[in-house]
Amino acid sequence: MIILSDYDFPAHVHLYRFQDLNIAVDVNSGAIHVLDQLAAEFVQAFINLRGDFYLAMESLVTRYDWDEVMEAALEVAGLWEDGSLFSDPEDPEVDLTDAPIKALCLNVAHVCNMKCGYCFASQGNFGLNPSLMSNEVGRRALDFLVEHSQGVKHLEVDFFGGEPLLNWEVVKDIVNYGRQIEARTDKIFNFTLTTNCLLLDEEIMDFLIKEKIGVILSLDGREEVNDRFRVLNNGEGSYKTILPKIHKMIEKGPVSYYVRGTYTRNNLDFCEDIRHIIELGVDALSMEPAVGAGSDFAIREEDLPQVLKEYEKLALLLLQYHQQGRQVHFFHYDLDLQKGPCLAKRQTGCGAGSHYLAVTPEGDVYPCHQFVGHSEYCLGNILENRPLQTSIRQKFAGNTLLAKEECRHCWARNFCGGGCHANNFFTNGDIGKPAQVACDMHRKRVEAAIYLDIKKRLIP
Amino acid sequence: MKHITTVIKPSLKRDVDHINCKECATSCQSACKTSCTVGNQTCRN
Repeated sequence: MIILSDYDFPAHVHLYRFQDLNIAVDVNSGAIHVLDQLAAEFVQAFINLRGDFYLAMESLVTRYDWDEVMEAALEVAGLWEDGSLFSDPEDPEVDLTDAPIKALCLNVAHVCNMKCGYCFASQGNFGLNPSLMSNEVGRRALDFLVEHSQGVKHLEVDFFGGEPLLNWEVVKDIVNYGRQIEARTDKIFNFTLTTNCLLLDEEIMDFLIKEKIGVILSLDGREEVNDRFRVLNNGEGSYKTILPKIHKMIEKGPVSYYVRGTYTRNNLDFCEDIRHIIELGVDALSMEPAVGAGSDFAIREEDLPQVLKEYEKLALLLLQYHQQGRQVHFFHYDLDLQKGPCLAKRQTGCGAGSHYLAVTPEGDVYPCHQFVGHSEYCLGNILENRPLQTSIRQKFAGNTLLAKEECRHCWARNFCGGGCHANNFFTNGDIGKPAQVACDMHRKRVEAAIYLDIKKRLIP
Repeated sequence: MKHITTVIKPSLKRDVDHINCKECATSCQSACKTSCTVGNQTCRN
């Protein structure tokens, strides 16, 4: 007999209906089950009755045959016994205070050749002086990464901006310098480049291919949607200019790529933009809600009903493609349910401020790219031979999932890792206070991703 | 089982040999840049 009167059910088990399936997620073990209607009702009753097994069974006898109820209840008991339902938390405390640094976002250009209306980087310069990173700062950034990455082999460097291709010669120099480091150390650099695609040409594309640099290519979807915010400096839309470049880049077969879009409250039917991008021949994409709490374009609480419906539609859309034999990777739905990250990773999320940092063209270091320009979060400068500000690093290192009361009781915590520090900061003025709109979207994405994964497993 | 199908068995890694090796990808580096998902990262071990 199971009695779990003190069990924190909302934190540890998530039972939900998604389209045609009843799904139970056992948060602490990672186990996922599909339940028929009787079993789902039994589990729901068990939760509602604060974990009283017999009361839960009795609550169903007016609607179901007793033997059937007993059968379902015994199955639940079996899952409890083998630790795959109603399992207990065993979260290890992770100390990131002196964590090695393994990833840098290099803002190689604080200038941009576009004027996107929703840009969190203030059209490229983050509210700072327009500038380009020098070879010296770029090389020093890699040295800094190597020096501070003790024990870690795989290092990540993303070229970001502004528009990084406006400083292409420096990007090339940094990559070449990285290859020299690889030749004399055991380090491996995984380079990526996030671009608006305007300056992509044959020479640049061939270099990206040769050096196995992953690319993130910006496109928001349908032409009218893309061109509402993604405009050139002369005010014209960018869709027609960048589309052939995106096609060419993908045709060349980069080591990895994502087409990355942003949706706003102006296109709450963003599933149609995702469909549009897929129909362009794209197989790996991401579509992110615009950031900028309080702005005209960012998603608000009142938009959530439609946004959540769109995420549900998206799962069905991707399932349709799967059934047609086409594998489309949507970043947030590509959960690795069987071989995902360890609990430590899940507790520490993106690692901003601890193992992930951003560097400006002048060498200033910030917890992540979204904090650039907020001087109170500047950790130091890589050209100065001084340790980074420990108080800020400690603040971020301590802001793990377990440090946040709301996160500790959220069933989706092991999928989001405690959320985005920057999102929390810009919404609530506190990196430790989760942004609820983002949390609601995240929970829905996880529900949809799990559903999609299950359906794919059930459909050969 | 008749009423319940287990699709994913217990899978969260607590194994001390593999935990916190930091060789996996940084979630915000690749495609999102503005939100956080860690469940889509793959463990290299």
